Amino acid sequence: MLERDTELKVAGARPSAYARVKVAAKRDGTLIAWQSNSWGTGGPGGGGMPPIPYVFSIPNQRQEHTAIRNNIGPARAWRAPNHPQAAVLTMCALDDLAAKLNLDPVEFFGKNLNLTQRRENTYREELNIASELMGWKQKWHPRGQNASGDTARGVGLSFHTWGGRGHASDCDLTIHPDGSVDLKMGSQDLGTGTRTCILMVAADTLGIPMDAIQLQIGDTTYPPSGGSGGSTTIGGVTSSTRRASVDARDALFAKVAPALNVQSDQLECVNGKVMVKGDSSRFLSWKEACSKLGVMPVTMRGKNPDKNKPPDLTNSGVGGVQMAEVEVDTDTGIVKVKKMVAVQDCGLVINLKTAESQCYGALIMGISYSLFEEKVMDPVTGRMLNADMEFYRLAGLNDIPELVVHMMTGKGYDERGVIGLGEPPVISPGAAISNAVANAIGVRVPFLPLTPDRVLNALEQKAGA
Amino acid sequence: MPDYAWPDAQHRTLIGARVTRVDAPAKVSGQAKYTYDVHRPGMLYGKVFRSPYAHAKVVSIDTSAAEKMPGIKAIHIVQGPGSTIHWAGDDIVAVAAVDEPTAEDAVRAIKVKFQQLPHLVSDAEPPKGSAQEEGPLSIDAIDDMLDNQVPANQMVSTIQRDGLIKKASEDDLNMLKADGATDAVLEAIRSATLHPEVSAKPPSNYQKAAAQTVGDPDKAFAEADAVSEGCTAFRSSRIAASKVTDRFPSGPTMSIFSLTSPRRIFPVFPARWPSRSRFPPPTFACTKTTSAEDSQQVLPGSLGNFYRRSFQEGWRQAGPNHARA
Repeated sequence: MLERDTELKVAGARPSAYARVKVAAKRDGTLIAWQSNSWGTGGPGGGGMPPIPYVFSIPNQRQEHTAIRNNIGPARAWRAPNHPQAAVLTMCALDDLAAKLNLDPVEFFGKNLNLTQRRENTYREELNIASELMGWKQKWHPRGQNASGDTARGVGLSFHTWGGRGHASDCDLTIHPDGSVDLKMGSQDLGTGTRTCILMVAADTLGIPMDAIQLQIGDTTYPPSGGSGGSTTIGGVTSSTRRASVDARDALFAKVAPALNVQSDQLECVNGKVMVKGDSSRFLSWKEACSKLGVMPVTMRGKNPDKNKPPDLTNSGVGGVQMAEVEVDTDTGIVKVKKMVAVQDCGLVINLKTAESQCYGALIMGISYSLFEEKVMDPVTGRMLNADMEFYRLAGLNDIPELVVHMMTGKGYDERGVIGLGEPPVISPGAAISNAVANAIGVRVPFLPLTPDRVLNALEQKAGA
Repeated sequence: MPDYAWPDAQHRTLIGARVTRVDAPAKVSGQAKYTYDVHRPGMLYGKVFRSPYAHAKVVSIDTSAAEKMPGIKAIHIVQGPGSTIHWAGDDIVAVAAVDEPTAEDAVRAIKVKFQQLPHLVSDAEPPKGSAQEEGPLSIDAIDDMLDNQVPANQMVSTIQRDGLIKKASEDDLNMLKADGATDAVLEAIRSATLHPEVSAKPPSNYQKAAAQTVGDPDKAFAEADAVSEGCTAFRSSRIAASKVTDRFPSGPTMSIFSLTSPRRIFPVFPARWPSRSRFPPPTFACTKTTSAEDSQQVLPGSLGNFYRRSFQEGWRQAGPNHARA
């Protein structure tokens, strides 16, 4: 375990990203061209170009990128590698163009949603819901026309996407003759609710309460199941759990069917009973049913992926829209986020509560990186200057505003299967907050984090221009 | 064939519902065990001697004094004489000892001589003409392409165009294959032109990536009604998760226990208690303890556990949260 200062110095940082962007549209806002000259560093390794233009496949593009190899220390994957950077570089440039065209960004982005291709419908629904939840129509004013005295208010938005297909996962589910059930899997719970989601899938399939299942995870002696990263855990662990649970349940049905005098495919598991479909008077309690196993427990290995056991239960590719409302003190340059809205798709949601929690956490971390977090290097000594608790500042309770999260569920989403959510919601806050600040003060603050000095600099340049 | 498909909405009992995490009670009551709570019999503690320089060559390492210290169980040189260090904080020597203070003492007793080299820690816009055009590839560069999911046909054409710095060994090829290189990519690597002279040249700090063009941007810009130009930056920030500490109930006396550096956290927090907070600032006592068990003695019961946990976790992971006002 590292001390705080060491962790900040050596554990690795998110690569920086800069871009000079030129972007063009027709008078009605239709995007037609993108040109970017980007650079950035991931330390000694250099690093790659963020995926720009992000989300919107603008028809004519030219990108040049230069990687800087320097001595700031290693880069590490920071939740959605390269995507928050890409969102900032893209959405800020597009928002500036919308302002130049005197278009409301909701209208401008809405007009170009065909460039998001496969996810057009998702983004359109999300944009509408987000606008409602933010009260965008009442809050949006053209740039810089929303100030009173020394405070200015503004709203901004951003779009994001991510893959999130479930990783390889094996698990063993065992039903014992005494009715107890256990499930073993090598994956661990990062603290995101993995345990809970595995239990929900197994309990839902077996028709028994979650606390009737003993879950053992996070040990290399259990069946191999992927590590945590790339938002791949939920799709992997739930798919293997579902297959193991279905197979174990059907094995149990085969033993129970003669006792109830039906074919095994006429049985179902509901409310702690194994009963005949459509005839609630013919059933065995879960415990009685399991006693039919005789002396041998039944263990089934569930796998993901498993082409022999279709359908595919996980999928890849999500869309999200976020909006931010900020208040900027134009005397001090301090930015205060007043409200954030996150509307997110992740296919079939297993647990609505933990899914929403992921988004709340992402918004909080998003505010933190947008306003405060920055690794400051000393050009003379080559060392990090703020490897401490005070000057590597994080968002605290006072910095967290009203957060509104809406998960997309139901038709069009559920049937896609389970898709990861760990990374997507942390991508957009930087761009949404930067756009909100530009809307508030009428000028782009061209850096993240949006520290007071940078806000004041931008205001001064605007005044001087 | 059994029906593995996810049940539809009418047939779900739990999937899609709001369910509280099963591990929540253990975590909020302080019963959950974290890495820091694990104390195995005979457990050793590791500390690392790190490079104070951002760019340097290791000239010599003397661990003799550290080796003689009581309680030192192992010393391992991670990057020995001759190694080039590329950032301040990189591992040089690792020490394992019976406890943390002993390991720290041993690290202090290690003598390393460095030859400093010029460093660059800026990520400002590359000076005009400074960037190296794309040249022959290293095995690492090819592995990076696999990581970045560059399509196989694009990788093949890049390898054919740029060649390799050195011949790929069988180990290299096996590694790339394990990382997802297709047969066509492996064949391109085997038959690539070699440019061994390139590895002898010191690499530039600036490396240009191949320009990408889709459609006809020049024509599109010429025909556009509106063009917007600007520059935006996203500065580098650290990776670990941020954390917001919990709310405090009204004015308890609180003891902060830190296994490492209470001096640093002690003065910061009360001074920065948010003036508009709904809660009065807690009063503080500060004790340097040597083990997590000691701290449990002072604030007994679940409240003590809760604060102990939230503070240990809070300080370790996030540091104090304070209002800027």
